[in-house]
Amino acid sequence: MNIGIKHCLIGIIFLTGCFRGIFSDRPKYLATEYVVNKPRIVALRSSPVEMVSGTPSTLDALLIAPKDATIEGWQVSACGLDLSSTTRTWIWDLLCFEKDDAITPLFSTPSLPYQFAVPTFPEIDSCNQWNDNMDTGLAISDTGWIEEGYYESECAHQLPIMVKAIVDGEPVFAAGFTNWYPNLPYHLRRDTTYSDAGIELNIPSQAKAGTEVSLALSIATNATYASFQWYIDAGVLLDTGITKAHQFQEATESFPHPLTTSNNRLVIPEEYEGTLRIWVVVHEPWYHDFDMTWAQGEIEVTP
Amino acid sequence: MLILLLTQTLLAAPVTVTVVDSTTGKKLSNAIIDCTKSSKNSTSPVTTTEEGKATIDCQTGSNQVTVFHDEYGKKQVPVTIENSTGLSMRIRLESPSFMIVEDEQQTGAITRHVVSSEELKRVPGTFGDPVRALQSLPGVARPNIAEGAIVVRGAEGINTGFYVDGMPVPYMFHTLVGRSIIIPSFIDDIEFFPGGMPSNYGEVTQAVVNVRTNTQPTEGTKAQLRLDFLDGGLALEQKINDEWTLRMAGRYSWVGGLISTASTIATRRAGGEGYEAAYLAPQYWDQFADLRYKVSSTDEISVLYLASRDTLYFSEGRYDSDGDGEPDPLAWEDADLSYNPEHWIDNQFWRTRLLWSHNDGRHSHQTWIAGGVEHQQNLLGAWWLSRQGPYRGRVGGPSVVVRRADRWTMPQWGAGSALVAGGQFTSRWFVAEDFQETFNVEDYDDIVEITTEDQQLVGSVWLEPQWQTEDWYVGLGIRGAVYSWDDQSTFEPEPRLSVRRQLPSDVLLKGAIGRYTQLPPLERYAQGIGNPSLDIMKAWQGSVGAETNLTGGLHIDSSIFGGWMQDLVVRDLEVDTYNNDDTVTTELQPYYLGVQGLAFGWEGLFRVRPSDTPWWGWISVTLSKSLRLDDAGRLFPSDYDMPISLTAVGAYDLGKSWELSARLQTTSGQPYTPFYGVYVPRDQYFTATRGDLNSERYPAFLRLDLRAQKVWSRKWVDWMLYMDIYNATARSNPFIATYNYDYSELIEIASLPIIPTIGLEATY
Repeated sequence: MNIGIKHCLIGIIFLTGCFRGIFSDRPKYLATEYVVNKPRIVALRSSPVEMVSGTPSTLDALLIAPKDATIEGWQVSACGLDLSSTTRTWIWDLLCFEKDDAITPLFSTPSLPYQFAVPTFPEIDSCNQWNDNMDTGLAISDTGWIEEGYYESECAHQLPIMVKAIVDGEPVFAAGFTNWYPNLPYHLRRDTTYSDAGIELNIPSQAKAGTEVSLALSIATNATYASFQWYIDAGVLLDTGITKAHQFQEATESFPHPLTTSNNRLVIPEEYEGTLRIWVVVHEPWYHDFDMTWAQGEIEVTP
Repeated sequence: MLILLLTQTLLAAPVTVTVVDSTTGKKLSNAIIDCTKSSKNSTSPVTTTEEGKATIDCQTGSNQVTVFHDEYGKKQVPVTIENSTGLSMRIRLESPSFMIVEDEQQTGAITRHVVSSEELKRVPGTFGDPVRALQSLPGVARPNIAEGAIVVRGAEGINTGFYVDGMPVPYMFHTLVGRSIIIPSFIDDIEFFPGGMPSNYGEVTQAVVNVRTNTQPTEGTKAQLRLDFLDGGLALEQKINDEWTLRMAGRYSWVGGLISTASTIATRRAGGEGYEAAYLAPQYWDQFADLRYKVSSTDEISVLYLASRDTLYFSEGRYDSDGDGEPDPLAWEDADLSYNPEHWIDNQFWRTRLLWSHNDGRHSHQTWIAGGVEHQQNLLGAWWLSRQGPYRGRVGGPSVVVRRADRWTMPQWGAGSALVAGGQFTSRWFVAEDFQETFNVEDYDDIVEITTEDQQLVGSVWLEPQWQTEDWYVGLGIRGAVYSWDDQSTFEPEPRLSVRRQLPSDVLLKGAIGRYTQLPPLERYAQGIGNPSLDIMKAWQGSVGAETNLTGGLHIDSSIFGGWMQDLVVRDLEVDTYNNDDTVTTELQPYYLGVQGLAFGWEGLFRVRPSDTPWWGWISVTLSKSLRLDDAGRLFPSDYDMPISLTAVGAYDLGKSWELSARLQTTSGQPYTPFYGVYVPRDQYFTATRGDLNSERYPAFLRLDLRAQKVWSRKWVDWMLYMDIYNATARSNPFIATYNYDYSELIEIASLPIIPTIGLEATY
């Protein structure tokens, strides 16, 4: 008996029988979606990693696509940025991009990275800083665990940035959320980012089809909490498309930076021939949306 | 011994047959009755008397009693006679109307279909519901399965008004199940105006469905019991004497009980307690009563009562966390809520009407006052359930309608001419409550229920001279309505003109144009849950067409129609901005907006009724376009824009009281708003941004429904056993869909699979 009939006959049609797609592949793990078969923007970064009113910012993105794809251009916009409002705007989703009058185009360009000027917006005058309730009865300088001045100008808008690429005539989207400061905050004057660190993808330059090759991504910073996302043209990643840091080495006299390495193993398909591209994106899932870096390499596959 | 047995087998047995109209119980004279033992052994036919009776000699054993009536056609009933004393039986003949009976009396409408209930109940895929079968007629869009709306000629579902015996009702279909709120056995016929309504119909801008239970007189006693896996219903009609007639009906669903039982059993078998079972179940019931008193040969007084309730009930599992052996109360049970949060859908209403009908041949009128209460509650908020109710809220209250409608015949203007006039006053008090915080509630005591109260007043008058000659009909309606609502008042003129011309070549030309107005539904403009800036909906609509009869029993009815709608209320999703002086945030909310609408198209009905073959059928075709234009300049298809719609219905009489029927329906896919995947690299997930409104379509819709039925009579009871197979090919026709993880592919969430239904109907 058709499963649909059975469910509906026992009267549970409103739960399962008629809602057969509700357990579709929607929660599919992106860890298994590492083969590049359609265009996708998989990483965003800006310098600085957050936006500051009236200052220059450089935005970059990693778009992975099949080899024959052509990127025709980029459009970048923000949403919810009211250049006359002094009320803090806090947007956690992309819904506001459906309101045309809430969108602020930032720039259009045929290629990235691109430097643009962040629009100038006023000071925020109604801002309950989140540390208001952290009164310890001591001066901040006496607490010992928060540097004085850290919260200066901390009040910011939280707004999304939408990055749209046109690839072979079709739109490809990615987005991130970031703080928009009226003034340069203290932490942006001193924080380093992943993109400041050196990065190296160690892979063989040649390999035979059907073989297993070792892959390693090293980044010259402490990235022990980072996520390493791998993308390939073809094959199977035995450690899936998302790995953690496998080795960490403190800075030494000979190498004055911490060094973090993540490994993976690639099985090249039997029938593959030619250039096989590999990308690795490094970022911390709980930190800035635009604090990312990446590396790319190629393996020449022979039969 | 063998000879003796044969002799016994062939003993004559008198069978007294009473032939009646299946709908009214009226006794039918001049029906020819034949009793057949085999093809070589039949008796001489007899004819029924004025009392509808005749006695014919059959033979013991199995026989076939055949009844033929000039108007009602033929019916065969198998009869088993056990001994020579014979038996008495009653045979009901179905109404002679064939599916769509063109106006038994034109009353000003250019296109009005009077649909025979008896026949439409047999349309497959409707679960025996004749009102639902209207969705097979031309100009009617295929609705979503859960809606049960009648969407006509490119308008919205809210632009179709539902009436029962001329009394407006808030909704016609039970939620989700889609059965109409009137038990089928009480429906004599359905009056359906797809547009161009005469001036005595107001407060509606596109179409009218008037379910009539009172067009046929009740004769004697009639009782009908109908059972299937969804519900059971009982209808009783009794002509008490020449003055008094009582009709009562009730229906109660048990599908919710089945789901509850199945869920409880499954929970226990999994090792849990019965009270831990969680399930979602629909429940519904409806009641109908009508008491009539014939004061004189010209006047009648009646009291009508109608009530209905629909609940989509979510039973949350309970647990014994404290170990006292009793299930713990749910979080909301201790909160002071004005509503039951387990009733995700709870729509109910009741109406009582006192009616005085008068008809002395020259002048007729209907004067009535009706009152009642209605409530619609929707906590689920799903768009496909909220189109006919509030979005996470409740709206409702009492209402009173007073109406007087007169008709004077005007033979001096021409045979069939008349003057129609009348007035109607409606007052609705309502309370709209916003329960936005129903879900994701952390503390039910913190819920803030936003309440809005208002009163709608609508007064309307109309006057329509109707000139009719042998070849011409002209109706010029003058109607005006005053609306008072939400601290504003407005007068809306509603002129209407309809013309018919009968050509000698059996071709009828027809045309109509008119203006129609309607208040937005309560839940759509009430502050808090709707858009209080909505205005009166207004529409100009017109049609021209022709009808003709061709050889072979083929009738063609074809029309071109067009409509321009202003301030039409449609539903969209909008980003709401909330500013609490500290933080500005956004949220996506349903949003009702007034738009302009344009609809146009062609519709054709081709029906075949061969007089000498055992089959019938019809094909309805609609080619149309329905567009909307909002104030922002967005031009988009309406939710029901289906450029191509085709329905074919056919039935075949297999003999021996078996009938097979089928319905094939195919339409363009319903429009939907696409989403584009947006990857958020930091969180490694896809979210989405919406594309242009209704710019994509679901795959084309195709569904085949089948039905087989067997009727037989045993003494005074007529039995009907039927099997209805909905979506016989199990084709997937999604009515809710979502996307895959990266929004690159559309994935069906919900569509109805193949649904076989077996039902039994007994009529006394």
